[in-house]
Amino acid sequence: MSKSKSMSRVGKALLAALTTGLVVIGGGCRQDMHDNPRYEAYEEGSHRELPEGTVARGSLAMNPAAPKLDSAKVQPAATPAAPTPAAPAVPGATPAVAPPATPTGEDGFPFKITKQILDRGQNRFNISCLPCHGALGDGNGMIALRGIRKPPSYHDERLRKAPTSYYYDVITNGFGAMSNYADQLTPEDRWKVIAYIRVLQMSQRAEGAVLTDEDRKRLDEAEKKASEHGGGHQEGMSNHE
Amino acid sequence: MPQLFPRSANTLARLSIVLGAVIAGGVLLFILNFNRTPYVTQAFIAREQPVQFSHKHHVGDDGIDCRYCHTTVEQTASAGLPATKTCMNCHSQLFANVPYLEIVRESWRSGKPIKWTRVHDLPDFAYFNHSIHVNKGVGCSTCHGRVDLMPLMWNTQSLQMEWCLSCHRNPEPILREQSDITKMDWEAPADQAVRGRELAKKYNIQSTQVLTSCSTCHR
Repeated sequence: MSKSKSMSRVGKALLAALTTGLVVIGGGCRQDMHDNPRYEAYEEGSHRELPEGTVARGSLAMNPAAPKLDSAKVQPAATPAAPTPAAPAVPGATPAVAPPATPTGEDGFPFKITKQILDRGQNRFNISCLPCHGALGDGNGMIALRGIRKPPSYHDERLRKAPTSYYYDVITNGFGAMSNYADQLTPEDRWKVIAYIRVLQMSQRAEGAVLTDEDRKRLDEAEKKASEHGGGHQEGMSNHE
Repeated sequence: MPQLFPRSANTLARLSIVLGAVIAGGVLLFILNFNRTPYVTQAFIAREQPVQFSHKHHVGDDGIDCRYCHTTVEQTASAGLPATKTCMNCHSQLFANVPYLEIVRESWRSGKPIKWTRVHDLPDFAYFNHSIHVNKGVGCSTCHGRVDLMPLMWNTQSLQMEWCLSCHRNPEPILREQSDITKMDWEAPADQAVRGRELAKKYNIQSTQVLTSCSTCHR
């Protein structure tokens, strides 16, 4: 009898300790602090639609002064008022080594084009545009290969001649099968992407003579490598209207 | 007067002290470790979603950058859950008639957002901000794992404070260049010890004292 009594005392003590422990630990199980009575991102009720016409602070200056373009109007007939130094419109014309002055007007940019801006443009292009338009802008992106209507190549004559405002209009309002990217690209980034599109267009038509010796060497090496691998060099100049 | 306790009671009494300590310690260890198991943290458990959205397909097969959909990850606290419009950029044409995307199309028609099941949910008292991490060289896969291999989403980390602190105490081993931020298969290069130190300097990462200060994450 005495033996069992001593056991049950130990048992009782353990039980008491366990209960106390559970109460102490379990007391922290209330979730008030985990779920504060305030709206967090993604919580129900935290999303509201923007009133129509809302412009984000600071982005107004980047919106083009040009009125919304009627895309039909900008077809080849609408040649830019002044030839752009950044992108030679005529095939075979000597392209400028670097875009010197920033063109203005319908075929201009709201800021001076620098390397930094082009880098940002490339970065955003590769995020938002590359899936369909491809890394070269030839319309061979992965999503296009998966069956979305193939976008035209930036190297088509029509698009090479289109002013920057046309691109801005397409990004902002969409065109054909492409929906608008107004939510995904800020006005500033849209212009930077356009600047990079001009770089892409130039990259496919640049004359060898404008390359520095170093770049020339790199190009030759890359070409040699490509031919060694036997893969057909992607020209990115498909014509489809 | 007869003996109240048998001789063995001495041993039992001594044993019960040891046993009590062992049991109490065991219970404590169990509770501590139990809270680290996927049973509690939900790590590696794929969540059912209203639409079977596959990051494996979109990121892994299609090569779409994280920021195509999670547009605000570089600017705001929240990475940004894409609006239905983002889905429709492609799915107005691709898989446009398949039944399992009907929920997406219905959301597009009605303007009512899809109710996704949240996978990574920190408690509200932790003021986590995506932008500071991304801008200071913490890549997506460091916290979210190989999202490009996940058919349905799961968390690979416990999201517990000890996990946060493991980096906040010593961020250098996981820092990477901005050009690698969304790279899914990033692994620390062999000379990460040197690079990490350089990157920490370049990103101007604060001292451990600041990074582990209470008010850095709890305000």
